[in-house]
Amino acid sequence: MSPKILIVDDHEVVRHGVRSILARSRPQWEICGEASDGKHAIESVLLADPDVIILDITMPGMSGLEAAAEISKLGLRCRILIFTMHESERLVSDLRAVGAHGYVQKSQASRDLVAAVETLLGGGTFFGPTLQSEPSKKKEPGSGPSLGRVFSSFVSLCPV
Amino acid sequence: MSTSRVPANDTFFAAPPVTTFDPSRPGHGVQFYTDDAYLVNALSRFIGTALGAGDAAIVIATKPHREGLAQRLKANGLDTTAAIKKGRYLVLDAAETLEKFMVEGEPDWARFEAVISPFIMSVAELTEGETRRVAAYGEMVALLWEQGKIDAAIRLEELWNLLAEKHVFTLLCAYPIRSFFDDKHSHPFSQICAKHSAVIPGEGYSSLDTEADRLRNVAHLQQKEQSLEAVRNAKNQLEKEMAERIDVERKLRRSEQSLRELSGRLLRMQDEERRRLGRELHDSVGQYLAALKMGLDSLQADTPVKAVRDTSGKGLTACLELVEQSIREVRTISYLLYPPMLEEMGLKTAIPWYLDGFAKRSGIQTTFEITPVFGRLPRDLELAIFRVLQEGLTNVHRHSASTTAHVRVMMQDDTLTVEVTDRGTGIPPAIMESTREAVGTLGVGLRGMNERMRQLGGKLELFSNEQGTTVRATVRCEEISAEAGTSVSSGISAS
Repeated sequence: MSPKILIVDDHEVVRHGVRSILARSRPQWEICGEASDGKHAIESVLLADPDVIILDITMPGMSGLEAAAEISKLGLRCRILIFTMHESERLVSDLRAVGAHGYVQKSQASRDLVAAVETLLGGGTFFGPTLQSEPSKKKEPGSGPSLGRVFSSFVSLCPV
Repeated sequence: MSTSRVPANDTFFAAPPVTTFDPSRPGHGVQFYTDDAYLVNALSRFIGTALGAGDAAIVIATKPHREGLAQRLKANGLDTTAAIKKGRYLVLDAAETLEKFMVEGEPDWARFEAVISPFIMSVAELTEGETRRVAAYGEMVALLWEQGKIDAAIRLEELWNLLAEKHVFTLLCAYPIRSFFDDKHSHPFSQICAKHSAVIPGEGYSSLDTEADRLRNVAHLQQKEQSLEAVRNAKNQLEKEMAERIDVERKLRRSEQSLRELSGRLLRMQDEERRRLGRELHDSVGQYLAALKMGLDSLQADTPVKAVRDTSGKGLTACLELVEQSIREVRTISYLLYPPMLEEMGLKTAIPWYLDGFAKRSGIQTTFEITPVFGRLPRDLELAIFRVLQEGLTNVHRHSASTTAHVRVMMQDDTLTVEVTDRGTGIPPAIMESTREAVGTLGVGLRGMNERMRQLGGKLELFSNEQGTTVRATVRCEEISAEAGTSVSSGISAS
């Protein structure tokens, strides 16, 4: 039986991007459902019984973190992959605490997403590669060529 | 008529000042006094002389004065008991007697006459000599005056004068001089004097022996009056200034209050605006950029290897770099505008997240300590605390030249304390000094921190010397969801 994947994100463009990546690399995987907030994510998990749920954090209503905690409590076979814009070394321990099995940063979707889902399907966890592969020489905001001017004016309005 | 109907003019000296008042000659005298003992003395002379001469006497006085008089007369060897028993000497209470003829706050002539006439006639019947002389002392007028019923007092003086047209008696009244303390008393004072045939000044005047002494005393009193006048003017001026100042202060407080309310509102609006912008950037622009990157990644993956070096292939790679950079910068800016995870996870997560970013951006080695780990606090409090922390660290970065910063969060007895300590150059003493008077002299940042804490009923403290600076915010709060936990402390490297 082909693995079932549930995609939860409040942005259709993001869900579309995820579908495309998965379809291109692993056409045999079944997208068993989609949801746009935490509450519907839980309902869909119960309904579709996915192998892996790809779960955004920041969503209207119930956040991905609350949903992850709830889903973990259900004791299903479903493995949870957090898929977020957020980036921090701190995040990993917070995610483990709510029962997530993996974490992929949205900007690294093309590189990490399939590998992460595959790892989770195989029973493993996926927390490492994203952070290790962050560019080591990090540019200061506003140092880029064309967007730099725009961002530097933003930054001047912000605290450090 | 042998009594003392003096013209009711307004002149003080309508009745000449004398030092004693003879009870044997009909008249209406007024005695001013400072000291009760002095009055009792003068009164005992007046009544004692009359009784001693076998004349009749009526005393209408307050209890202390009646008792004082009785003691005094007794000490002078005069037995009043017999005179009282015989009915030649009548002693009445001033307040009780007064009440008998007052109608709607005014002495009523008909009742007055009905009350007082029988007394005078009855005692006059019982005199021992043939002259039927009656000496009367009354201080009901003084009672009225002291109650502020000045017009009633003057009216009663007039009623006594009217009564003197029907009966022959010698009347003495007395006023304590302390009753005439105000400018507004000067006219009624003259009126009172004008109702009498004899004015007996208080002891300050009467006790002087020679005319020269009295004149000197008058001159002295005039000087005193002048200097008192100056004092009074100065007092009036001061009172006026004081009233103006109080008014100005009240206005100042009001405007300060409205300024505070305004600044509080501005802070909240700024917070809300930043939150909206931050979340919008992160949740909307950021998501589109992420989706864009996925799309570009797919395009690149579809591009044949040999075409990657083409112009379009190079363009695609450049676009991808730009998108990546945009994502990073949108993330940074949104984090600065609104702390990530604050809403989702609270301070205990949001603070170390922020410190990670701060350490990277500023190159400042940051350590963090939280004792003990606590649960969620009210949302506005979490945000305010976070903003104070952010502001504090911004100051460390911009002004302290410190290479380290230590953040300490403590929760004890429902009191949350947040400290940011650096090892920098410290706040210049001149600025620290000025903060003792008003935090208003500080920069916008510290003022904002102070205002935020004040709005939450907390306080902000500043400690600084050449070894560094500590900013401490303290506020009372209650967890809205508890979390069991121990202390956590960690170092955040500036790598």
